Amino acid sequence: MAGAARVIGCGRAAEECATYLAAAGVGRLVLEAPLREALEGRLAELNPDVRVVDGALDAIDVLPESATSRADGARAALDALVVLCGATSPGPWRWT
Amino acid sequence: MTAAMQREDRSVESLRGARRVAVIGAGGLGNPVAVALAEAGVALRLVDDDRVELSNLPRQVLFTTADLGRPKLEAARDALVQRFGAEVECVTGRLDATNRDALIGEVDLAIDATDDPAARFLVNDWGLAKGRPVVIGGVHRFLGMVFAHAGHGPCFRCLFEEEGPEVETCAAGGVLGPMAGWVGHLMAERALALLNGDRDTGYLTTLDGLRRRARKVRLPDGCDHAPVSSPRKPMAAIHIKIPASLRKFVANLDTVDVESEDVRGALDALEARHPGVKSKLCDDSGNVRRFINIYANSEDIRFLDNLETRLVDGAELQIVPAIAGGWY
Ligand SMILES: [Zn+2]
Repeated sequence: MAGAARVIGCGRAAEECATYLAAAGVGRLVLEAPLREALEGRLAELNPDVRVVDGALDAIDVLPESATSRADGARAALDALVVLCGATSPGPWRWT
Repeated sequence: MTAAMQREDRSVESLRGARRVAVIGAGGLGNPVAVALAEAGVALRLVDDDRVELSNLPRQVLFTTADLGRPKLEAARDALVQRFGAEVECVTGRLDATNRDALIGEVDLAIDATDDPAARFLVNDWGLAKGRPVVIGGVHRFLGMVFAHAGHGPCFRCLFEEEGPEVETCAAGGVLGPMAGWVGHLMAERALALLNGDRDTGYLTTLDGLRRRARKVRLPDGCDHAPVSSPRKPMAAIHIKIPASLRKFVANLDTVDVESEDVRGALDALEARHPGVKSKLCDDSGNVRRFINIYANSEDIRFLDNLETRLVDGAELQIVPAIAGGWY
């Protein structure tokens, strides 16, 4: 998949987010150093086509800093994929 | 694990060793469910009968290219043990009305992560029959749902009719990986809340990942499904005596207790509990191997009705190898 994502943070949400983005085939990922160190090997095994890069001018920022749970991380990956696929211009999440 | 994750650990309530949960299905929903529960220290009983395929990898993130062709149970267990030091029991099988209780086992809570409409009702009914909580999830493209009951109604049958129009399943309908991941993690969060005593159930959560909308739909109180929930009458308790040479296949037990009404069912239940052991007793066509003798209450089953020999409650099934060596 063309496009790049920069995952903010190094916690569980960030780990889950990066994992799902890699599995889904987002071609380039920018990760903070500690997460990159912990995760780069696993991401390569998960999807050999994904590259973890130092930076990407076209990268979209993913994951609000307040996110801490793996559920938040997977949802942020979903939101990012929607944007990268150009499916819609997403508004805020609504819970009713 | 990063330092940030270690800091988060302090806020993760540990349930290590205290609870056992059956996760039915080790696919797109089962993966995140298992990750979240293993990380919280819950002992897992994973039930599945599938192998890892290339098409699974975009959404089943426990698996890697190195796992292609392996049973999902094995690959998931290895990853969960390596990443979280998890306690994982693997049960090979596909849930149906005849094996429901044997496959789900004695657990505190069961989760249907198969995304299979029939399995949802089986897990729902197991919870009603046992008075134990269940969590049921589903995902289709950008739509997801999470439902839970606490061992009583309102139950999943209060929401949906079993004999309805064919619902497209996860595999058939196509699923976006992170959508399954999100739904799976929300299912695990519900399960952990229930294990921690939360009894706020009776509502369905629906999720629309494209319109970015989540809804909580509360059901009216009351449910009359419990009395008819058990798919069959309770079966006889059978004690299977394991010879020393076979104990390594059954966690070194000398006796395994199962529920069944005949010898065939007892061996199937033994296999469900300890995958792989049945192949030591029966050949590929399912017949008892020539060098294995099985006695039901001291009678050789070859002189009774063989595998169809009926068993009464409390019966003893003795397995005796005729000759030593050469068969394992
Ligand atoms: Zn009901």
